[in-house]
Amino acid sequence: MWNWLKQNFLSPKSFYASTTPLLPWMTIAFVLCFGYGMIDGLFIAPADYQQGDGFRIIYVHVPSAFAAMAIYLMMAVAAFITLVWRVKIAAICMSVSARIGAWFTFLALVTGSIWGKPMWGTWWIWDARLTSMLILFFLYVGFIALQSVISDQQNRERASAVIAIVGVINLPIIHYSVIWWNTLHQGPTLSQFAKPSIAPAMLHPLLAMIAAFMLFYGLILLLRMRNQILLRDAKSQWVQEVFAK
Amino acid sequence: MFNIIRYEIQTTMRQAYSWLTPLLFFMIVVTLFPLAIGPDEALLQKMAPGVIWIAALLATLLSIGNLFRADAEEGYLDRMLLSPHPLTLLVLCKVMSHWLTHCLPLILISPLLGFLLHLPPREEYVLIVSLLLGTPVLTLLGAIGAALIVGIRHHGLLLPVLIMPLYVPVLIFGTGALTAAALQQPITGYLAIMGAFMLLCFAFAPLLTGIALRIGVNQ
Amino acid sequence: MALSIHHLAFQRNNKLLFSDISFGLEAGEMLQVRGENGCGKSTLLRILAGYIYPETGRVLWHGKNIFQHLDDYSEAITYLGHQNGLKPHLTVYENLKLAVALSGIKMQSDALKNILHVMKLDQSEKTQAVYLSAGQKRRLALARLQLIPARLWILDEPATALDHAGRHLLADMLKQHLACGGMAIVATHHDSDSGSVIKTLELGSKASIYV
Repeated sequence: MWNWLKQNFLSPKSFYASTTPLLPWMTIAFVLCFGYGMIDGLFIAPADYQQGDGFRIIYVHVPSAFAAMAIYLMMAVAAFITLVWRVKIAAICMSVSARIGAWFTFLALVTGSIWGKPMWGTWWIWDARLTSMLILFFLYVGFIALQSVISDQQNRERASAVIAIVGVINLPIIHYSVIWWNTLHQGPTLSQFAKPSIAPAMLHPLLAMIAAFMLFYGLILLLRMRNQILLRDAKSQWVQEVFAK
Repeated sequence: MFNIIRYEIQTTMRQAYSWLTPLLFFMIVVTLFPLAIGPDEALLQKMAPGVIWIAALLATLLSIGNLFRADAEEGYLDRMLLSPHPLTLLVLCKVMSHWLTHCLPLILISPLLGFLLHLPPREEYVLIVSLLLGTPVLTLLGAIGAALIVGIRHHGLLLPVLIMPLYVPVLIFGTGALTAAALQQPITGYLAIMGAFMLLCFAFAPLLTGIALRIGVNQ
Repeated sequence: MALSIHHLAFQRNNKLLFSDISFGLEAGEMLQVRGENGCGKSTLLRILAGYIYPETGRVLWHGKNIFQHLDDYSEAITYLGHQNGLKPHLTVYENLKLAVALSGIKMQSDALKNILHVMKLDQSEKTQAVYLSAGQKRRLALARLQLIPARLWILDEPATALDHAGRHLLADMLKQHLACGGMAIVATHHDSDSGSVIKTLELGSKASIYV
């Protein structure tokens, strides 16, 4: 198993070759999940008895929030592999994931805000989840900022790997601290925002959208990683052959 | 080991501006708040924990960026990496000497600033304890950031941007202790959690700082 | 072979600095690394000191990969780079005491003063390092070589800023070190007059090793 992984994905060249057949399948899977999720979520699922049709934005908000956190985790794992085993592919994966994750975090914040307006009457509220997401956004941006300042490639990858790992260790601590902070300063709006159990008819499109977003991430990740690999090894023979085809 | 700390402290003390300016910065920032918000006693008293904590946080952040800078420029960092003493231990020495010269003055002057913001005496005591438990965390986490930017010439405010999200938990519980004290609620829980943060940071931060130093020494 | 290097290569930002460097060094031998500015002398020395990880190739110290036994290897070497590794605001004497503390050895103050005398720094004993001249700082940095017993010396342009007497001192130190079974790798711009040059490694377009 490890040997198969090592052979087919470890070097940039083999990674490029192995991921080429994956792309069309991922695209199809993404379109299916996204299509089902959007149609079911926007049109077919019943309206929430409390929030009316406005709740439908969760079909974008929750998947993006989920993706934001899942991607940070992936980034941290790639960072760990970069530091310990010095695998170039892991470094590329980490750098690319950071940018994608930052966008998803931004999307989660914006959709959370949009959701909030009809719900709480205000565009922003300092509740636990949104505040956590905001801090996650700063963690992403900090990572990207550090990368943009260091010019030497090897140092850039390793230094940003360290900050990614520091971030992921702190993330649960920050998250629970913010939840605690929120219970301390509880406002009357909090009870409104308590999470009710979700009906299956609403759950299925939500899961589909989460899957769709993660597939989207995977797709963009692979596309961008392949680009990076071609850029880095631009002078090597196998890349010239790829261009020749 | 003790000698190393002693020489670090001596180096710092001989450059008076390096530890004096963060102290003055701390005082000035706290002074700016009543000027910005107004001298209403009740309001200042309510905001005092947050104001003093954030000022201390900023003062620590802005001074810790240069923790390894001089060493890197002089080539002393190279020697640290080759020393038979574990790098983690040497980092701890630097952090401790930095805390003693930079954070201890802040802690000592904080009651005065609390007094200026109309903080009652009972809460002054909590303020000192919360800063005593919290500033080591600020220093240890800041050291990781300092190690990451050690080779970067014009890092500007990169260090605060990197490290401030990590300060959120200690800020929440540090000020939380003061808020609880103001409401006559027990504070031992808050202090216990801050103690836990401190121990956690002692365990992991020097290690990560060492890793970052090995990376940064080649820039 | 006490120190052996196999097929060392390093690239910076996708530019190859050097490739396929191999050589061996025994006790009592010195390797002189020469080449123009920017050809990778300092980088090579830093790789040999264990600071930088090479792209390909291995560095073996008594048969063991240095990057897997970094602690042991670090204890066997002393590295002197372009910078002097001093604490500017400590005095000359305090710098030496710090060097002793940092390297975990014990040394009496008499021995330290003796070293200061040998390096001709006794007058400046109580001067803060920041007020020394460039040559004096370099001599203080070289004093470390006397202080800490190390089998392998890795020196990057050690004679920078030294006057004639200083260069003579350095040459004597090297001669004595090699005579006692030590090894040295020295990067230098100009011909060193250390006498016992055994091997030379020329970096750059005409990378070659000759005796």
